Amino acid sequence: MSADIDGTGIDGARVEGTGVEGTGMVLARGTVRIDVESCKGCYLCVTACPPGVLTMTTERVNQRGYPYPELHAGCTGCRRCAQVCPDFVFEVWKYDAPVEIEAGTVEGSALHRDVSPLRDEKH
Amino acid sequence: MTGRLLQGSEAIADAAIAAGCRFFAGYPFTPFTELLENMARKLPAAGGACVNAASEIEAVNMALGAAATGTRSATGSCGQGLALMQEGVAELALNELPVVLFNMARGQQDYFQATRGGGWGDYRTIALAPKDIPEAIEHTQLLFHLADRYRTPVLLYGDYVIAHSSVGVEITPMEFPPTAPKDWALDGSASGTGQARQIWTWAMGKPNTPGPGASAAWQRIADKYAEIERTEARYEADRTEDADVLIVSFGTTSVFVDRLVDELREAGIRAGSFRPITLWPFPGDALEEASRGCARVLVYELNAGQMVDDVRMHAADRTVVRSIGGVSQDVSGMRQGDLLSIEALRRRVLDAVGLTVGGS
Amino acid sequence: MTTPAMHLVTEFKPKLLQSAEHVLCPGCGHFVAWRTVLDVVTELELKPILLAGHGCYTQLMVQTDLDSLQCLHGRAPAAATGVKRMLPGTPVITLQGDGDMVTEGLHEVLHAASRGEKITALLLNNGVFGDTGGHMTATTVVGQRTKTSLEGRDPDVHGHPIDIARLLAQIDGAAYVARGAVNSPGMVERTRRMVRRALELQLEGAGFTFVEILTMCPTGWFVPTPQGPDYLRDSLMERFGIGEHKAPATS
Repeated sequence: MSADIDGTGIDGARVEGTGVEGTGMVLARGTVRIDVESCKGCYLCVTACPPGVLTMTTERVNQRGYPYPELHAGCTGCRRCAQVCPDFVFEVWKYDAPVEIEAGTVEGSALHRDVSPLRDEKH
Repeated sequence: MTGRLLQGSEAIADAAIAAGCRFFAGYPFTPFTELLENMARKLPAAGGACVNAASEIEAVNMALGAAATGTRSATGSCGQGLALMQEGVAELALNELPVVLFNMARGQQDYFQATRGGGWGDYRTIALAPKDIPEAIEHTQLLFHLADRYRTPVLLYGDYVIAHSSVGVEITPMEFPPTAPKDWALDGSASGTGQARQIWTWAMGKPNTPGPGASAAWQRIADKYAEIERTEARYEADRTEDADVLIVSFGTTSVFVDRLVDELREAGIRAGSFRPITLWPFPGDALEEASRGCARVLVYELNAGQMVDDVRMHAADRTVVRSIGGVSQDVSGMRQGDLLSIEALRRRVLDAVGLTVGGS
Repeated sequence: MTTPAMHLVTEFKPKLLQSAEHVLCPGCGHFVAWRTVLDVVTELELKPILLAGHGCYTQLMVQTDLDSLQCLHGRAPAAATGVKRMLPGTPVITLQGDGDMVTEGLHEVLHAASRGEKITALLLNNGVFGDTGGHMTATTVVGQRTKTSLEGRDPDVHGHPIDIARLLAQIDGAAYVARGAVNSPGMVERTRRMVRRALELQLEGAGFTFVEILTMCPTGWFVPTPQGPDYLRDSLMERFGIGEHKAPATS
């Protein structure tokens, strides 16, 4: 899967039966917490995700100015995103039993925090 | 007390082991090779390790690694091999790692290298120049102590004569005051505790244990060398109080100078000798005092004129300083040549003071 | 709605990383490889000493909760020799880039392998001197553009790259030689097993163990970040291959 970065959005995550495109209820086996502020917008997680439930924001950026991933319904808890992320953005959880959740962006997966100043202000 | 007949290289190896040296790395290079051979033969039995490195660069880095574990560690070569090690010496100094370096030199041509160093950054190297094998035995042990005490690389300036001559000698272990425990040494025990240790010239530390950074660390190290300069200079001065002619020399050359001063005094010439034992820190204050009132300060070194710079810097009257040595290697190029002789020295001294030599 | 019962699979960062915040480029493969290495170190419950060379990956050493010695460019295997000879019971890991190990330090790594030093040498190979801005190294592949091979590495002008893993595999003192990569989860998993095998063999005293890990450097390769993994596949992986080049027969 390749990542399209012409500014119109990510095409590579179109995989059949995923939560990104559909509506209704979707089976989820896992979920992730995303440390949004750590992300540097490299897109490697999007390419690595087998069910294709990660998309990068197109109109929002984090405090450092990077787009970041959002989770859609259908995560399997396979942890490939955490394996390939260079910036330790993901915490991966697996449901004890699969659950049905609504298609679309999974609320509460994003972790926002204030980042420390990039430059020591004493300089 | 009768000693054993020991080649200088063997005596130095025994002295190093007596001082607690347990790691040695080296690459064969005349006249250093016998020191490596002796270490290879003796260190394993003493519970240490000697590695025949594949280059001098490897050797100094191996010694650095061993020193990082808190082991008393050494390496060496002749000046030509020390030249390859210079980056490593600077790294030792700026990491504050103790290692004893042995320059079994091909003569006296390495004074600049020993005292100025060829590495990078603000560092100095304590350098001791023994005049004979018994002194080399003492200096070797003293150097292991000084290296640990000041957390710095230190150097023994030996030469072909010391390395290859044999004398009857005993290795008497010397006592030194205790040095600080090496709580900076690495052994893996702090790994995973949140307080892992780090040895890095840039001294930035780790997130849990931030360091002062390069600038602060290197200033502190420079201050340390300034302190050493004030306190660790060593020298030997003979009959300088009333001397007209002061002969300055270092290392094995000074044995000949000592003999000549006796001769000159017998002939009615008020000669004296001054010998820096530490090439760095150079005993400048003592030289200034010894050279006061001297009509001539003659520097006898077997090179194109290296120590003479330091003599000029410190002599009471720099205008009376003369270089009377010169480049002198034997046909092989590996040891001092014809100038290392009483005849050559006598001729040059008398020439310098405007006297002729009767029947010499 | 109550949260369904769940269990943690993967933490944000490995315990052995004191901090996950770093300034390496987006899409850099170094921390991807390092996460894998630290997971293995934790799994095996090791308390090693880490020796790191000079490069972007020096930051990996800085962030990591392991006793560390930062070494001169190319010289980590020599320093590691001194460390391991004095502490034979302590695991010793060296971490270098292709500039450090294969360019400046080719002599040191070959001789450490030849002597059979019981260390685990890790190579993060992205075919470029990243830290200095993207210059040719001994592993830059033919056709690869760098600031010192602007039209692409040309054998007539710049020669050919060195296949360090195959070179080391020919040395008798080397007990384990493998090459992995981190451009996909599958590759990361294979690499993890190689690192584990290398460290286990060090503990057994088998000899010199080595794992080369091909990593992404989209900055040094002049490619958009998301294309890093594919570029790695088409350049370094295509030229050097993946796999174990030397391993003891399993008992």
